[in-house]
Amino acid sequence: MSAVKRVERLAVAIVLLIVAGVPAAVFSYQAMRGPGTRADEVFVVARTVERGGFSPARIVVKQGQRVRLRILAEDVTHGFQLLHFGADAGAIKTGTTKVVEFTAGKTGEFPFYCSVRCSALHMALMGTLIVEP
Amino acid sequence: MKRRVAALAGVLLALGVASVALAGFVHPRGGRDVEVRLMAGKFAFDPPRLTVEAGDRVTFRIRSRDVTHGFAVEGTGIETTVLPGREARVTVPAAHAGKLRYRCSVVCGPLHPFMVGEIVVRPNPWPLGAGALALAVGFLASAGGLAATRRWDLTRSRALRWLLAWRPLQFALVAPNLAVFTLIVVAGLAGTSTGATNFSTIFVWLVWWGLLVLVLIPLGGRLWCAMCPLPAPAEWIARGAIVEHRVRGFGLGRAWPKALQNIWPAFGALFLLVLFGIVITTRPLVTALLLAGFAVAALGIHLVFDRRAFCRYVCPVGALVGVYANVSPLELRARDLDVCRRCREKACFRGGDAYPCPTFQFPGGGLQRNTYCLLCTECVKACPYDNVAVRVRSFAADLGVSRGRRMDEAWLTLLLLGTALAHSVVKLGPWGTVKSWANFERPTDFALYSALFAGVTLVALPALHLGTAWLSRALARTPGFKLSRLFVDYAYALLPVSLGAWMAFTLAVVAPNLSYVPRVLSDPLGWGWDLFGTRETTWTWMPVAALPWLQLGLVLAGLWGSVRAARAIVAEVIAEPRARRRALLPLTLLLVAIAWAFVTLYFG
Repeated sequence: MSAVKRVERLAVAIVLLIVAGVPAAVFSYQAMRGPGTRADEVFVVARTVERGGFSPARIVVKQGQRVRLRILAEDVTHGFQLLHFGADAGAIKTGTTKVVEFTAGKTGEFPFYCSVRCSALHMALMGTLIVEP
Repeated sequence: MKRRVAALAGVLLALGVASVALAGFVHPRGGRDVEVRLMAGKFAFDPPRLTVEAGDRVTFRIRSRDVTHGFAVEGTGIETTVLPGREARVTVPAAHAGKLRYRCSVVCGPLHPFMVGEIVVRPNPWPLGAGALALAVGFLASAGGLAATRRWDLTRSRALRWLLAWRPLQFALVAPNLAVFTLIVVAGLAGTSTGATNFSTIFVWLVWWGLLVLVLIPLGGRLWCAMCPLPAPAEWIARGAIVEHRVRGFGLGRAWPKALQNIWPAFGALFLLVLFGIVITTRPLVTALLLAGFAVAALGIHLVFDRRAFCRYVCPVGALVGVYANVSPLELRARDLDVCRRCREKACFRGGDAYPCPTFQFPGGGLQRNTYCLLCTECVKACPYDNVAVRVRSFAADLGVSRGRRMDEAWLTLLLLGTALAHSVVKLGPWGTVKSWANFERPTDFALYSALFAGVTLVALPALHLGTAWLSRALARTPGFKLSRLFVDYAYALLPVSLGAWMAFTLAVVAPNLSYVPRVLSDPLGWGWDLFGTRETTWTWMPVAALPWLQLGLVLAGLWGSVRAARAIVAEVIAEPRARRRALLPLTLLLVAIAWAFVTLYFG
């Protein structure tokens, strides 16, 4: 194999590595990282209702479980309240996260909602925590 | 005559410096406590501007109309969060005369980085002082002799000659940018739609644009085009090789249509780009689609047509960088034109041991200005006589080259100047209504904004320029000159001051928003990552004391270059010295007025 060919092959390899490698790195890092930064953590993204609301909007846990939620305010400043278990994150500024922790002491369906006005549909920005026996 | 001009300029200069410098020491006349109800809403404060006396203390009672905002005074530690439904109170001492700017400090939507308000602290010396300074600079630049352009041949260095002739050089420059480009597209398509926290918007419109306007263009001209990743895959496929020189590639190699062998296509593309500039620069998805669209367009064009036709005729950024490259101190030219005259192969233009010039330039004769030279160094590699030099020279040396001035370049220059003005008003100004118009919130409002934008850039400014050319011709008493030729020739004199204004604008956009860079490095897609532990950086670097002086310096340096260029342009068409001075006067006044308009907009 001549030197010319070798340089050209190396260049093709570098280009392919960049074009395929960058997206692959991004998505595999996200997949590896899992839903939260910790294994026992649920990662919740808060967006305005116009842009999809809470994600996930339905969180299922077991009774008696220690629940740890990390909430990311993605588009504007949001809040997070789940008053049945005394959880209140206060204002979560855009692009930052806050953690709430509580023990799911009783079974049932409990609403959580945004506590800082975030859009015209702010009052509709809600989700449900389901505590199974 | 010369002495009188110098004396007048001296007096104006002294007045300007004195009024700007003294204002800092003027004994405050204020001392009142001023209370202001401030309403924050997407994406402005109401009232947007407030005038107080130096020494006053301003207490803001801030409420939000919609979502959570912030309030931070530039260059101070004063900051507060404005939650909806709650009043925030903050006191700002207006100690020094001048303009204080405050901005929203909690991301509130796409236009958040441009949500600013102004406190004008009287007696504000900037508009008057800077006007006097601009007049002084204008008069000084229009007098005195013209120095010959000096040049230093960088390619006398053996190491640089080797580097430029090294085939993988261009690929080595493109590859890192290709990686960034790929991440930009991925982040724009898959990442958060919040512009301030997405890698694509921050890296394109803050990092790339900042480096391009503040460093690459003023020092390296079209150097960016040598490392641009957008047309690279297209060029590789068309050539059938990435690094090596291949004679036959996969491109059809058709000739670009004769009617479009100009930069009118790029002019059209640039007009759309800057008209939708507010939408594009704040939306990650739009940014990613736009850049990917450029790459696809380049691919289509390069597969069908000969050489880098996209970069030469279509690319709006290429055209922008191209006209401003005439101001830069870097040039690629033939070392000895006699060698080129004797040369039979013309390998630089036709191809030989390397690719022919991708933009159809011929260093041996036609290439006298930087506008279309991509600095790709193929001609350095092709020339069998080692007769291509890369040189450093005085700024703006190309503006005095009369050969090859064109109407399309003149119009592009006017569009760029008008855009610098329009974007300064929309992005840096405190007026929220204009921001919402430009933000395409309602089609009818955007139509109004389009009409205004086109009115300024395509009608008012060219008309003003034409009027100046007409007045210049009338004063010089040379009715025989064609007005269209003066319109074109004089347009080149606008380039330095408009580049200075773009740099001043870019500095004011980039500096207060720098803290987004470490944030998106840690969390490029806004998915809550923290790669380097910098995802919640709130540090801001704002050299608030130095920034206005830097901006003023850039605009005045541009003005100086513009008036010098105007002088050289007038000198080449008019022989008689007194007629020359009369012809130069309206042009000098126009340039001073332009500089003053920018300075007043920034500090007035």
